[in-house]
Amino acid sequence: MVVTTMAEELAAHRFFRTIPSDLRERLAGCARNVVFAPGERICVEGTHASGFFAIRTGRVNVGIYVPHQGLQVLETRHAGDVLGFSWLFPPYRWQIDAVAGERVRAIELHADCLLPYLEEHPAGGYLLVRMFAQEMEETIQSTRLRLLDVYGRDRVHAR
Amino acid sequence: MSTLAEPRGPGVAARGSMTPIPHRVVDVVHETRETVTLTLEPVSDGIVAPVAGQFTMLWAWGAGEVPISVSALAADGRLVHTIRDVAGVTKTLCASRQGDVLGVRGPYGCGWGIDAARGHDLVIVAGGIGLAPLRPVVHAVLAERSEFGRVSLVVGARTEQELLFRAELDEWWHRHEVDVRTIVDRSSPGWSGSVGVVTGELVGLEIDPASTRAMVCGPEVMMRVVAQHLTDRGVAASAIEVSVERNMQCAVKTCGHCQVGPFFACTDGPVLPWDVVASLLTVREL
Ligand code: FES
Repeated sequence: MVVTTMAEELAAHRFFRTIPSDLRERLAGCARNVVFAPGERICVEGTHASGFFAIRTGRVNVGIYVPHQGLQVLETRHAGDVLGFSWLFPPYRWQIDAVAGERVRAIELHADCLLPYLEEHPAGGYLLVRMFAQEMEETIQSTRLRLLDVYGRDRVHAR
Repeated sequence: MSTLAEPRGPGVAARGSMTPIPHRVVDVVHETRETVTLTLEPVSDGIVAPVAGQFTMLWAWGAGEVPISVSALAADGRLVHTIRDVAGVTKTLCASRQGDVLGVRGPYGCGWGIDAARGHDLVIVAGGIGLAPLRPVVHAVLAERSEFGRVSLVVGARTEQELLFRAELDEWWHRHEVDVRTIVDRSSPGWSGSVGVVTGELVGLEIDPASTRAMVCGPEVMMRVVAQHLTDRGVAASAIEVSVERNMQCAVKTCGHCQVGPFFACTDGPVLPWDVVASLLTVREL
């Protein structure tokens, strides 16, 4: 059996691939492996955002619960993505609901452990915040593209 | 860099005649609320058999003529076209019934580089009606599966209801010979697949840039972000083909309506390598 350390598992994840190994080691100390069954809720809107998840396998449906209509899925996060920005900012409350679309294996990183370290080590904190900012930009861009309704506008004839 | 002097496809066919050849509608399949697949049979002589990625000019008597890609390669001179009703001529074509007669000329343009993809991994990305011209590619791959490496098909649509060829997608998925992934812009009750833009599904694909070729067809904005994603991951721009859509009128490089910079979509395209068109597709009003 091959035993991998948490730092190695982080290194294998797209999000953490490029960060310096010393920071990765530190993040590994705040991380644990988690598994969610299909349909299991991963985070609940309005509750305390205690950290974030780096998805290793599976799909996570992210959305908002609407009374009598259930979860309205707004986007899907995939293997290689991270889930959760709310842990970074007050009031540290989940703004979204997330449910495992299939069996999900993820690495959970805990804010209680991470935030004090990042406050004390601004270089690592800056790097991590930049990485999250890039994820947010990609999420915003994906939302913009969908607002554009490209398929609805595709007035293509030759297809 | 790719050059269009290289032979990349069948090129212009049947250039001599501008006269539509009568074909009878023998089958009508309503794929989605606004998309119809017509199977046509020549009334007497047919046209030269098209290849994947080519298009014909379909003529509805009294309404006009539009370019439509072939969505399957049929035997016996039959033609299969999938048409989205975007008003005008396409509305008339989509309202066709069995027995109606339409005019056809073509086939025109350069098709997908299926031969160049042999021995390579293949990533096929289709958005909306863009799956129609790529469907013959999937058929070709499945017919000779061992000729290709890993093959992935990522299909994007506005909603689940607007996904084309749903039954066939399920069948391909169950065969496990092609990694089929679907993603919609907006979820609806009962949809258990992904929600987002097609690049969301590409993130999880294992891609070996050196041995990957890609074929992309959909709205131009979508093709741009997909090509960007693939090149960011190291896939050569010359290994990515896109199907360029332009207003086509003559289809034989005469009217100039389909010009994209120095190229004519009707004869140099519609399938063009990304390294050739990338800079042109970001020019406004081109
Ligand atoms: S459609 Fe007339 S030149 Fe291409």
